[in-house]
Amino acid sequence: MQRIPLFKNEPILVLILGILTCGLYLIYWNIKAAEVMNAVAERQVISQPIAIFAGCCLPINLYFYYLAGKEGLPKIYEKTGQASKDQSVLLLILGFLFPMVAAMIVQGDINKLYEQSADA
Amino acid sequence: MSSLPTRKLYGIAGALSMLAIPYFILLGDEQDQIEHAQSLCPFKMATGFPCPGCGITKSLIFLYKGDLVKSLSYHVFGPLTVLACAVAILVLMVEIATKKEYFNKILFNKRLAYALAAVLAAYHFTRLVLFISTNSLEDILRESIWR
Repeated sequence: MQRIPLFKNEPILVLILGILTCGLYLIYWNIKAAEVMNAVAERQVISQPIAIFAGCCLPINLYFYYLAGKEGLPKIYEKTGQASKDQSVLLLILGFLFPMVAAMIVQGDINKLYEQSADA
Repeated sequence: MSSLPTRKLYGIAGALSMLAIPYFILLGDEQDQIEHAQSLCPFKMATGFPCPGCGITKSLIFLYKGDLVKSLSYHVFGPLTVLACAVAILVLMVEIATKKEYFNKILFNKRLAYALAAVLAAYHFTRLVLFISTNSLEDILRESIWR
């Protein structure tokens, strides 16, 4: 079983840092979020180049959020005992219009992984 | 959950649209106004500041026009993006046809990924410093949709 990397942040901090650094922080965030989702799924859902280029190319950014919503987050829901849902459409739309808000949603779901392990 | 070939098809579609969108913008730009056109980046429209990907579309447009210097001035990674997208399309098509995966060691190499991210981050940081030092607040606001 793959060890899940610790990547816990306040979602609002993702928004603030994203704006303050003019999107620079989101490149780092994409890589870390992809690492967590890959570890939870125990396979490579989002490759590292996709995570990096998502920070600078809109179509790749949309692909990143599609993969996150379709395959990354459902594994997190499964692991945290939540009802599985497909967030790909929501994340695609938000990823197109407000990527930082899409990142906030994904971060919120990632945080639940650690809340669950703290409760256990 | 989407199957692997479907994911690859989406990858091809993403890379194709990355290459095709600037081409269609170029076709529609009969009066050569692209340099003064409002950026469609949501971040730039809202704040006036560029995001790490700002300028890639214009960089690709000027590359298609054959103006490499102007292409690089809009975004250093513009020509590299064309190359990366072309390679991605080719590799993904070969992967679908042969039902095998290639270059996984490179694609999932964490060190390479961080190195690439560091270069992109350093470039964006330098660009931001230059942007702020060479533009007044009024100029920055003019880049947004608020002026």
